[in-house]
Amino acid sequence: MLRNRILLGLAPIFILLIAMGIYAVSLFTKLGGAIDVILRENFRSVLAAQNMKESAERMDSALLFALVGEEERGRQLYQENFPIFRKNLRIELGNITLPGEQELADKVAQLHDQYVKRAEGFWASTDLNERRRLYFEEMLPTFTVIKDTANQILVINQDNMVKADREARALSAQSTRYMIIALGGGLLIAALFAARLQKSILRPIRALTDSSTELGEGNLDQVVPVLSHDELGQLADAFNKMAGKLRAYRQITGDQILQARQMTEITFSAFPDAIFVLSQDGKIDFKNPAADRLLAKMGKDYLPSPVQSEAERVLKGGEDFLPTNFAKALSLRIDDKETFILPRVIGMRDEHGNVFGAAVVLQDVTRFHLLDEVKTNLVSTVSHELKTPLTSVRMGLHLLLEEKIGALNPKQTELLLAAREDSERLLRMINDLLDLARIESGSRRMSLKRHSPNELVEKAVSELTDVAEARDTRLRSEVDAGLPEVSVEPQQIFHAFSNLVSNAVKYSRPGEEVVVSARRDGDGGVRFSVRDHGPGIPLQYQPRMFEKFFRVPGSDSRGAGLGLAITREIVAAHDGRVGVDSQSGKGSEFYFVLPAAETPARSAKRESKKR
Amino acid sequence: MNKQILVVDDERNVRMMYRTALETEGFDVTEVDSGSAAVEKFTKSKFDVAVLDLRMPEMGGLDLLEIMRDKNITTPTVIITAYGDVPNAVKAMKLGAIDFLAKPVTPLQLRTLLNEVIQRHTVPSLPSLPRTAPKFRGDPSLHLFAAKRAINNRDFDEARGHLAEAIKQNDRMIEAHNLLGVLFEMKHEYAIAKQCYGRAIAIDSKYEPAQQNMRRIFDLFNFGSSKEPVNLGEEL
Repeated sequence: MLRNRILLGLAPIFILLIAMGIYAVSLFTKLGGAIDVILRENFRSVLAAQNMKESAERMDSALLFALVGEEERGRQLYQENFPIFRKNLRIELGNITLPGEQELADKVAQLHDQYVKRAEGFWASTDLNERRRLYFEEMLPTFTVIKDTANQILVINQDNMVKADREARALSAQSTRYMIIALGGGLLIAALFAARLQKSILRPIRALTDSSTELGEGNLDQVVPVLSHDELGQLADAFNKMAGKLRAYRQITGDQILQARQMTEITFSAFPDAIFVLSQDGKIDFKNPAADRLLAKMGKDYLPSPVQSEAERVLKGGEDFLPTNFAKALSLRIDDKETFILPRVIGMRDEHGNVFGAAVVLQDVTRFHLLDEVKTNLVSTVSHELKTPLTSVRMGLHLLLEEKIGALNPKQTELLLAAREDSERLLRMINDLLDLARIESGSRRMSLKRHSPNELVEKAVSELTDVAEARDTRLRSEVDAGLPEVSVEPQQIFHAFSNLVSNAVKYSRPGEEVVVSARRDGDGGVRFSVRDHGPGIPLQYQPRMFEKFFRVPGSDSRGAGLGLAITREIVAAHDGRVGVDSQSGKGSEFYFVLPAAETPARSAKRESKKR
Repeated sequence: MNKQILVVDDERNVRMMYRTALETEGFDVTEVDSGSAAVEKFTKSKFDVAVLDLRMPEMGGLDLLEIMRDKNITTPTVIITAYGDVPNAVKAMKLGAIDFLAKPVTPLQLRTLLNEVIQRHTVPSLPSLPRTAPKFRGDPSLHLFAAKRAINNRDFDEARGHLAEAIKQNDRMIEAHNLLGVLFEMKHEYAIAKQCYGRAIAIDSKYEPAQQNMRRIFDLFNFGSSKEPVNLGEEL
């Protein structure tokens, strides 16, 4: 724990301070106590010695008083000082502190006892001479020794006091040194501790700060060393875990992106069709192996020009180019074989719809074309095979009915007419089938030109009037003003009108009117329709009207049921759609909607691509 | 003497029908069932017209025409085709063939076309064009007639002259425009050919031979090859 670390770092300083305090207190106590004792004891001895000296001198003086006749005064003085001496002697004897002091004190006591005994003899004698002799011969020398000895006691105690003082000073000086050393040591420890704190707290924090900055700049490979298990260690650990998770996240997203990229690349390279990605300026940014192969086969390093111009149109913000039929396939000569390529251009747009590139897919549809041709060839072969026997049948019937080779009776004629009628019908069906096959496979051969709806309707009405009049019906046109032009092959559209008008006329009663019209369609196209007042078509059959060979049950149609299917194919080849509106008993309206022709510039461009 | 017709078809029943249709019209009919048999007949007898089936095993109608050209047999031919089965008509015209009938034919169609071809080759010849063009002022349909005969005889320059003259006098002659187009196409003058077909279509947009030729030339122009046969303007 960081707290423990701080406490632990501070602990030496605490301990040092406590130790220094204890030491100082003990030192001062010791210092103070020692001096006090020494001073007190020695001072008492000095004082006792001094008093002893004084009282001894007074006692001596008392003897001298007696010698000079002042007996009474001498005695009194002696009596006064004798207890003082004895008292101080006792003090001294009780306050022996120094070596040799005991001997000195004992000597003083012994001498003084001697002195006191002789003083008693002195005082007992009344003889002045005797007293004099006693005094000078015995008492004065004793007194001198006592006084000297007392003085010695005083001196040694005084010396001891000086010595104690000197020792105290020395101790003090030493203590000062110790304190300085301890202080220095404390400072050193504090400095070490500060350095340690710096190392153990600031450095991890700085490392964390640096790593966070790096992390912020996207360098996720940041590991902060975990040096401890304290709060900083936990922080570093948490940081490392966070960085680790970020790394893992980036790894995952990076892996995903990488994976997605690899998937895309593998898909692209596995894709059999050539794929090009164009940048905004129309240059090839990326191409898949199929595209490389295609370019290599063409011996070019750029897109075929119709595709390039279509791509540039899309890059300029035009609609995607997504042809749905093979009519828009390009024919290229590759390896000396005719190859059909269906181009698709898809703009790549950002969220604002701005085009920043385009994907171009060139699909090899040669196989479909071959299949188409196989189908066409099959149909033509079959038709040939059918038509050869039909030629004999039909020609035979015609020849018989001419009666040039012999007359027929009415029954024979009737039978042969029925047979001829059905042979004609069989022929129509075969021709319709061929038409259908040709339109289905041949829409790419259309050469579309811009025509006004009015022109198309008027032509249909004028050329189909005969058909209508043959059934005693009338044809009328209704064309809205200001319709846009449509891009069509007029012959095909006429074919479509022809099928619709034939049907309408067929189901009209004599005298009725069939209306051919062109109107604006909701989607901006043109809706062409043929309307009759016939019996109408039951609702349940309407969706199936344009199917091949479909006939409304119960109708006595003599057609093959292919006319409407052909119309549908023709209209589909023009990118249009067909439909029927009908109510039983009120007539039917068959219509087809063609898109309005594009702007001239664009249609010219597309024209060049059409086959 | 009746006109001599050679019918070349591998189908026995069909030959019988042709024979009946033609004999009732007063023609003498000889049948053969193959191209090689026809070549043999040509070397032995002279025919006014030959009716050829386009599709026959071994030797087709066009193959036979080629052999006829190589052997310098000038008998005019009527070629019977199936719908959508018209040969490459530039090639056909180079071989002098311009008269086609699509199966199934009726006796009337066959007789009419045969009569036209026979008439084309029996009426007194119009003076050759263009040498005599400035002086000659005939019926434009006679020029068309003469042009067709010239094509049958593979004299294409003369055919072009007659067609030009026919159009000069009557520029509404669809067939003339169309044939002229094919002639120009033969000479690889596609732009002029296209104009010719365009004029024919302008006169009658339903005129399928010109439509077909136009489509094919459109393909040729844009993409270098075409499956659409040249249509020479006969009934199909």
